[in-house]
Amino acid sequence: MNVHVSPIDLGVVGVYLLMMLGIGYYIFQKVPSFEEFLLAGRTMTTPILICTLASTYYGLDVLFGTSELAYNDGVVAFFGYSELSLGIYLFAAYALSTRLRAARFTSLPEILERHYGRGAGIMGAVASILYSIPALSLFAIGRLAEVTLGIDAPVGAMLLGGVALLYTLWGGLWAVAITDTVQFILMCVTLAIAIPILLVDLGGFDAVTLVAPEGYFAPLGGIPIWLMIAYAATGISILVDPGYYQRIFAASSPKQARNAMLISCGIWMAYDWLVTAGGMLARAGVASGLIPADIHPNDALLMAVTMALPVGLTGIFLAGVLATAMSTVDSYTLVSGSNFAYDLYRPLRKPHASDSDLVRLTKYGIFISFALGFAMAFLFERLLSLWVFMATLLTSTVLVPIFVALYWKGRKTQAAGLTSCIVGLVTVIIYYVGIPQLGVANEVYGTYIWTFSIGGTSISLWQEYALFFTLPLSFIGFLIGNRFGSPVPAPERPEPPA
Amino acid sequence: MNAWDLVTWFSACALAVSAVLIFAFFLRDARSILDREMHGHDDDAAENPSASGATPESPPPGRPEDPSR
Repeated sequence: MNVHVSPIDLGVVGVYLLMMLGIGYYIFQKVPSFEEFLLAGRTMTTPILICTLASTYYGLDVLFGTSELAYNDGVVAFFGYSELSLGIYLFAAYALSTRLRAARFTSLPEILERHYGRGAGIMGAVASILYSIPALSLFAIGRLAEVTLGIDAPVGAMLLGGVALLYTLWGGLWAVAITDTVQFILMCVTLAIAIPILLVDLGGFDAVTLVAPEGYFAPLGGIPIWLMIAYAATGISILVDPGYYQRIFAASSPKQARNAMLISCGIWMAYDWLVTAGGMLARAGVASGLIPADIHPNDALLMAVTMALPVGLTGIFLAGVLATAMSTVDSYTLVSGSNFAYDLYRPLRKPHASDSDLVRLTKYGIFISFALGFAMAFLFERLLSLWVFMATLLTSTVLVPIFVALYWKGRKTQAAGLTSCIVGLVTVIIYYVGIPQLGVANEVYGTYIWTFSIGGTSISLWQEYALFFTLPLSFIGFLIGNRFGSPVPAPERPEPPA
Repeated sequence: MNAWDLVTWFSACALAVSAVLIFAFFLRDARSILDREMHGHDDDAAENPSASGATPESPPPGRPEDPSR
């Protein structure tokens, strides 16, 4: 089902795309060194950090995924799924941001490399690259192009994602951050205009109440508590999210990093609620006839808003939606590109790689990451499950050794870090392969569940529970490994790029 | 207008006002950041030694310090 878009709206989207390219080209003429390319010279202040953090971490998965949940299940999409992660974000703001920035690392795998040696660093780099491949975002861009512009999804992903690729190749983090700023404004302002218009057009939440099924306004809905905890635990991924780390490393001071994260938490809350409200109002839109009854819940918000907004504003909203996806593509291709160059090529092949070598190789890495993401976007059917697996894999592999490195002052050996990474990686793979083999598919939740009995008590293991097992096992692996080898006195410090 | 409507209006106002304010602060910072970064000036080397590497005591870019010490 396609959304009607007028030529004026298409023009607005075209202007937005040209603006992104213009910003990238402007930065291209100015950025000389690797640290400026990757970390914007570590000079980012609070406003630009807020924009790039908020727009990067919120992609189309939030816009359409949360609105779909709200359309189907009601306010639990906000209270149950989105806001339980807020405590983790606040921890990241207060305890992690300042510590990371003060340590002056360059990338997430570098923390492992400095504390536990090359093996752990390379495992962290591979996990980070897999996590950062922008398959889900490119698929969403393609789908958006198909629904709004009427062009094939792969062509749309190539064209629109290609714009993000081009300005990232040109300007590195500066281009990403400045385009993120424009994208952040578009994301926030268009949503803040569109949802109230929808609210007024449909007669407010009173209209939703008339068509809402039972439990639609219950904050925690009828979702199993362990599943809710498991969903909230996916917020843990921000504690090892390489895009988040890159922005904190790029902050001009630890205080700016903390303030940016705190303010971002408030913005995410408001954004989450508006997306939830949009999904719920779309349900009333179906009942009132504004939206066709056969709409897929995933498209409901987009359809409702484009029908409610006047010409011109619809174009700005579409540019805002596109911005939501592009800000994720640009950030994560840059992260994985730098992982290729700085965290794989440099330690394995050329420890004293020059600045220009690293910039050139990072650009190759960005291109490879985009190509892999494009291929995966249209080869795999269950992309969301694939992304959740990648996020679980990264968290299971690096969370324990990184947090011990950052917070534990006692004995730490190279074997400890490496064992922790290996145990985390192996157990997550075993879990994800094992549960579908032992359990059965659940179509309602789109997952696999293995149910068995111990002493007459029935226990159900969902695929989403992986972190409950992998993180404790990774920690046990660390403790066992820490009994071998000599303590690492201080991180090794290789020469910086020439 | 019920409570959910009010929360929605409040969220929309908060998001729009925050975005505009943040953008205004970004514009205030943008010129000085670009000037400093692109032309090698360093106004706040004390807070951010890596911005230009101007101070001889500052560790060069890419050299982390052990956060656990």
